[in-house]
Amino acid sequence: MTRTLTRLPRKRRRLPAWIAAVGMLLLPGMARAAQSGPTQYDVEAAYLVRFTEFLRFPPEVASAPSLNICVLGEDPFRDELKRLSAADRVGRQPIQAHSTQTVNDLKGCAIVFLSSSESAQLDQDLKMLEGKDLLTVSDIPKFLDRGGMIQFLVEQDHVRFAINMNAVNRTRIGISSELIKVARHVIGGPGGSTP
Amino acid sequence: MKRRQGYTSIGAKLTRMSILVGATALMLAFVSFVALYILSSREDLLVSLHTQAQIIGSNTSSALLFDDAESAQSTLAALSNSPNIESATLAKGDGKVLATYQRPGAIAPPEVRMWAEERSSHTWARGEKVVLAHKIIFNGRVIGMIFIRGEMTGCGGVWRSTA
Repeated sequence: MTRTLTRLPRKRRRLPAWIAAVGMLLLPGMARAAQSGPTQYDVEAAYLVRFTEFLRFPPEVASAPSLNICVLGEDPFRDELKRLSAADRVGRQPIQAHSTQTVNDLKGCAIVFLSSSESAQLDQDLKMLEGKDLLTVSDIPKFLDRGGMIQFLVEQDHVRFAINMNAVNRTRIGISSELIKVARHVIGGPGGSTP
Repeated sequence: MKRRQGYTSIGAKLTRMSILVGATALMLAFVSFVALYILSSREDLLVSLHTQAQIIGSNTSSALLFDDAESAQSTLAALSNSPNIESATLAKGDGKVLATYQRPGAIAPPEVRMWAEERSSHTWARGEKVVLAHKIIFNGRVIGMIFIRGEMTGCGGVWRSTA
């Protein structure tokens, strides 16, 4: 009995050390778990692929061997867009993701994501893309005001998007009303053909 | 002529018997009617819940794919026009709840539950309440589930409608 009582304080002294040791072991795992959640660009990559299910492209794009999503400028998605694209398809058409540095290389693309590295030459890029049946998407601020079609926005830690129907209606691309329904803002009316 | 004690006439016996047979027939007819009514109202409710689930499924596909709780919530709010629907829960493919609907005074929306993979719908009944679960499929892939709780117009409904 006396032996137990004399040992107890030493055990108590060891307790914080044990807690610290267990914490040290758990900490890297917890940090990894916190990092493993999807990033803004992971979500944007998923949305870019999902957009394809709510769009109607002109026949020559819809009948091409693959539906191409291109990233213009620095690719912020790393391999996520390529991974998601490879795993999905629109009807029987496979989806492929490509990265390019110049507007001239966008031939054959159905959707182009203009990376933030294009901010400086955005007006020039959009001017070069005018009249092409290409859905322009970006997260550059004021993208819609500058003539873009879909802009990603971050609201309360959620990625949302806004649509400029005036810009979309200048192409032969049709946007489903289901996609318009979940857009945060819509500039202009449906106007063109909607699937 | 004086009737002997403990004996009843044949006429009285026949009268009693015909009353008994008539009452039994009436009772059987009533029980059959109630059973038929309950079965048909249950069937009607299931058809109604299934239709509503399909409508919600097609109207919330984009909300589910783009994780838009606000849009999903406004779609579910349309259920207030269906008096037999008490509450509903819309969940994403991974089981995370995206939106709920609850009629004022109704019990909490149904919980997300899983069922046999190969079936697109499943029902759970408890008393006069039925929960219908329906998988929301978009382009061949399950993107979410809708759980709708409805109330059957069972025995109570029979009394109410026949009163």
